Amino acid sequence: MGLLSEAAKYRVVSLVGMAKNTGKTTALSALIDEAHGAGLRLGISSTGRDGETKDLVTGTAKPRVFLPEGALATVPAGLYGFCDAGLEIVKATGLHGPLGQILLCRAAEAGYAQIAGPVSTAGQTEICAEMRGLGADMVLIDGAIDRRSVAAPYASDAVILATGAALSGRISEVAAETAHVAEIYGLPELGDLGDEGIAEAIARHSGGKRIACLGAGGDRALDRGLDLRTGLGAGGLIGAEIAKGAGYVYLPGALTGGLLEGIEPGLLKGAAFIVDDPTKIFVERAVWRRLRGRGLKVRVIAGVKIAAITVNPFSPAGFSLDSTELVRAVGAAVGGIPVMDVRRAGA
Amino acid sequence: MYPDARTKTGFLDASTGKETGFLDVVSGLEPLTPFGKRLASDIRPFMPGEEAALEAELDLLQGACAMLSGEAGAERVMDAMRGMKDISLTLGQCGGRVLSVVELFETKALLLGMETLRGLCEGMGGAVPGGFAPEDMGGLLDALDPDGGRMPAFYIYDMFSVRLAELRRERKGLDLLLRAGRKRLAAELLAASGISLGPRFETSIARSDEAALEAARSAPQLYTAGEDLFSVSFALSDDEEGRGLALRMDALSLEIEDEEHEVRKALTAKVASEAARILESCERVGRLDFLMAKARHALANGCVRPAIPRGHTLRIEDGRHLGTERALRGRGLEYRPVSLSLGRGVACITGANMGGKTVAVKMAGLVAAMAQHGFFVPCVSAAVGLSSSISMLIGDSQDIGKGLSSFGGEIEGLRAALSGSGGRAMLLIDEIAGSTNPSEGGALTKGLIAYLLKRPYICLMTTHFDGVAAMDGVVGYRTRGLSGTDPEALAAALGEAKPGDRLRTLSGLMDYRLERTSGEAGIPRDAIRIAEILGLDREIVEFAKDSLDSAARRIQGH
Repeated sequence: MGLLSEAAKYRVVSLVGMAKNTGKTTALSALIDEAHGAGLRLGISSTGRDGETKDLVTGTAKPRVFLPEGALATVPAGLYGFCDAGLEIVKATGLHGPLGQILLCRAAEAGYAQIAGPVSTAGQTEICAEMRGLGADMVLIDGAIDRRSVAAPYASDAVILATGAALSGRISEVAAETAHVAEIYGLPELGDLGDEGIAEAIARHSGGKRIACLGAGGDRALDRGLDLRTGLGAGGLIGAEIAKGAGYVYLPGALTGGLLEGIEPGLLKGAAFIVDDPTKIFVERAVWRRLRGRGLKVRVIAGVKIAAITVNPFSPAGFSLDSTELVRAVGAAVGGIPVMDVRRAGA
Repeated sequence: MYPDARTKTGFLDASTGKETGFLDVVSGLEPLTPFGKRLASDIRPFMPGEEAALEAELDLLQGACAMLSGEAGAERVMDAMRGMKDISLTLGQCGGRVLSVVELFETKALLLGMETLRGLCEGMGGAVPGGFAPEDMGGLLDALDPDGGRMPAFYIYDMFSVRLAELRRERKGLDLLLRAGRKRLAAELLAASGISLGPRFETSIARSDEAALEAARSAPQLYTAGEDLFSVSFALSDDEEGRGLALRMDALSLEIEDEEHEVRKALTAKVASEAARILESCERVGRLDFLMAKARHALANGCVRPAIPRGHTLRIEDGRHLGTERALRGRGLEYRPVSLSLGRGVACITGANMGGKTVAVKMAGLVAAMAQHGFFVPCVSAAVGLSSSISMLIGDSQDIGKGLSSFGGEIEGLRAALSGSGGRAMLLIDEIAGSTNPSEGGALTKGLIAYLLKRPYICLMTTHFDGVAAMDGVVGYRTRGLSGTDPEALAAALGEAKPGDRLRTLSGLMDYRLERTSGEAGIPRDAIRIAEILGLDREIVEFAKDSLDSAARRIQGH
């Protein structure tokens, strides 16, 4: 069916929520059911603790993850005893979370389970590879509910973005906010520039720590690192470098609205800003739109591929939006990315 | 770790451990198992009278070195050790409660690691020092690994109990029947009212879709699972047969849980009966691990086995202070090894500033402490007669917390060291009273030496006070410093060096070796020379030289 056919194009897929209650776990459950029905062997991990019966923040009901027989999953030692599924412990990963060591398990008997995976991106990548090695056709990572804390670009091949009425009671607002995230995820990558030397110049002048300003048009003579670890309050200095001919500004940390607002508006279009990945961009939609209008250009070293967007028309506040209209509006706003309401997918 | 060792054995206080660099050596060890790590943190010295035990430990260490350098299997032994987890807590409790699946998994994983290690050790035969291979736990491992696959995975497998397998099979059959019934009901629903359910046999319908809502409400197969202002969710209700199946499954689940508990109980009892042997094996693995960690340290740092004579002596040929050597290498400089030979009494090192006197004293302490803890030592050869305590006093050892001045801090430390010393003590003293005025400082130092000469201690000290080293009964050493360097070559080398590089060049030319002095050899006047070389204002240097000369003339005039 819909979601699986989009997700199955990738080996490791993260599910990321735009906010709490946007239906991320519902989408995960639907994917698991579909994949099981299609005979795929799944690996399921999570970027933190998930699978509790109640959502810890809002107290709304939240299904545990149902593991079909044969599925692989990460379960912390402290929650092993609370799982209905019959879980064979395949390996102790040596990675620890707040609920004890993360165990790599295989469902010997189908049932519900409490999933929690490693917190670090490196740990997540390692576990995903391990599950693939143990025969998982596809690995699903139940990711963060905040799109900015997702470790997606490094651990997974693509994300499924969950959005919905939890963001706003207005369909147009949900669509615009979702499109904003989709635009940031889809920013062009550095490799597309065709400037071979730029990655090396960034490494040399930034050392992973400093802001690096690089000459426009590959003019390496203008390259230099600024003695500032983050962009906080650095707008003036960066502006001065752009005025001197810097064509690219690499930020090792976050790209914030505050930083961009600190640069003289006329200078902004003079350079392209480079960040590691889209999760480093913290610019709210209104500011982003305005600065894009002024010629703001941003590139990422590693982008995030969105496999599909799921919408949840129900809000924890008690109202719901028209599902058909919501799917249509989000689809129109993001352009080219499949959008669906998982709960209605079977209808 | 070590700070409380003094209270255990009175051998080494924390400050001496730190100043000599011995604590760095211990913390730099890399045991691979929790058992080896525990031994490293509980490390204890061999005391006088325990020479034979120390020799036995050094024999084992020599065996470990040979195994590491000669046996291809050593690397695999280390690999087998790496994943081991300490389960002593689990073992301690397995008499009183039933172990969880996770605990049984950890026990099995440890036993598997032990079995691998045992196999490797057997393959190396006598090459494993002390025969520290884990015991054969095959029986218990078989119990935890019913199919004999020796995979690290664990589960309450069907193979553990015929009854468990039957119960599970029965529940699975019921589950299939139940799902088939639900699928049939869902198909009937679709045919009758056009309502399609998801894979979990539920659906949610917007209130605005009144026709669908009415159809769902009137469908006998559905019940209302939840409602909000805008939508209603429905779920499939089982028919009579389905409800019966669900009830039987619930009952079976309880029976399965009970049977799983019985299996865990039986396995726990087996683990409990072998707990002592598992712990004994952990102990052996820890010993082997710790020995191999010490052997890796010895091989990496060019250490040799020290001789352990029964008498109280310290003889070092070309000893190196490892921390200083590492620091110098980091700056591209070479460490000059130092030799010395000490017996009971006082030996005094004099010599040029920058001449490495302090490092020589630290090195002596490090070699003695390492040997006495069963390490090989960073020397070409060494003989270490065991001491009952080692105390190091470093000049300028200010304790800011106590608000004492430099001198006060030293005296406090000296008092503590002297009161803590007895029997075969070793005292290492660096520039005591060095910060006070020369006449008083010199007098105090002489007083201290007179006191120490009457006691059966090995005492090594540095000083720059005149006349101290020449006291009767004191063995004099001095660092050669720049004395052997041709002045013209020195000037040339420094002339070529960039201003910022002079210090480095100078310490490169400095000869740190010790030589014995006899009688009134005098203190080398290197301080003024070094100041001159380093480019201190000529006027200052000339004045200092004149002043020294006139003082010498006054003494001759008397």
